[in-house]
Amino acid sequence: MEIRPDILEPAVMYELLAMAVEQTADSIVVTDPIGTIIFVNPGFEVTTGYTSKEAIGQTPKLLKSGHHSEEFYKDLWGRIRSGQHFRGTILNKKRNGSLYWSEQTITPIKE
Amino acid sequence: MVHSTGLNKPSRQSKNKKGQITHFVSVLKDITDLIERERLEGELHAAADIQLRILPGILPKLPGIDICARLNPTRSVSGDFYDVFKIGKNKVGVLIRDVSDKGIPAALFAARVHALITAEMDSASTPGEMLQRVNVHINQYKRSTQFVTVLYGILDNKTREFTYARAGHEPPLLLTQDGAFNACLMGRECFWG
Repeated sequence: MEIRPDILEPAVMYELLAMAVEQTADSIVVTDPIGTIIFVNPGFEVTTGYTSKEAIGQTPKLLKSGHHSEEFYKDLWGRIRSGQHFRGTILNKKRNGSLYWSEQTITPIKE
Repeated sequence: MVHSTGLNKPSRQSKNKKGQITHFVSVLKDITDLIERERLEGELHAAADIQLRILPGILPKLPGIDICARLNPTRSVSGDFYDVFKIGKNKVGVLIRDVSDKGIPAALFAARVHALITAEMDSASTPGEMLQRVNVHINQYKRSTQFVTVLYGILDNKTREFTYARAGHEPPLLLTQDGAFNACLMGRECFWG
């Protein structure tokens, strides 16, 4: 039977989106407007080594590697707080101290 | 399902009519392997570029003799090498060298062999003596299974003779006037290393 996305029930659509977020290999992090992490997906846990419990309540500084300047982060936050999205490559630090490069997009959610 | 983190289905009440930012969502893709691969490729290209610069840019000229050369390595970085250089007024030296294996290890070994050949070339009186001297150096410090084959010869334009020695390398081919290629086979075979 053909499944047409435009006729999916909202509940089914939310469930599908939730499964996508849960099963993607990429890391997904959601913060509140002041930058406190309120959600991470399993992909984040696998990549960074931080459990969801450890990450929630922290800020994205959790992954700060020290590679980028304060100016870099200031510009990043300035950009996203003004409603624009950020796309860039950032060197992050995992829980075990090892570094990894991530291609990262940060998008403000407006309702 | 998704971890219970307070991210519930958005309710209509939470909508901010002014379009203010309520959250930030960040998607991170780990590209460490990709960056590492690009870095290694960059280094390989740099190494290949260095190797190309070692090759003679302009080949020497001798009256009545056309000299040309072509190198077509199977990989960007390898131990393959040739050189053609003037010796005095009427002679040119011809060096062809092929290090076993390919890639960075072969290139490093080739660079060492190149330095040894350059050092011994002027003091040796014959191609055979030069090969023997370099072989002594290589065997002295050799710690791997790598080896190199070499052909070194001197073309004398006065006598029209090509005197050469080879260490495990393919014999040179003689192109005769009737268009036939003949391998110049003589002496014993032994590669360096």
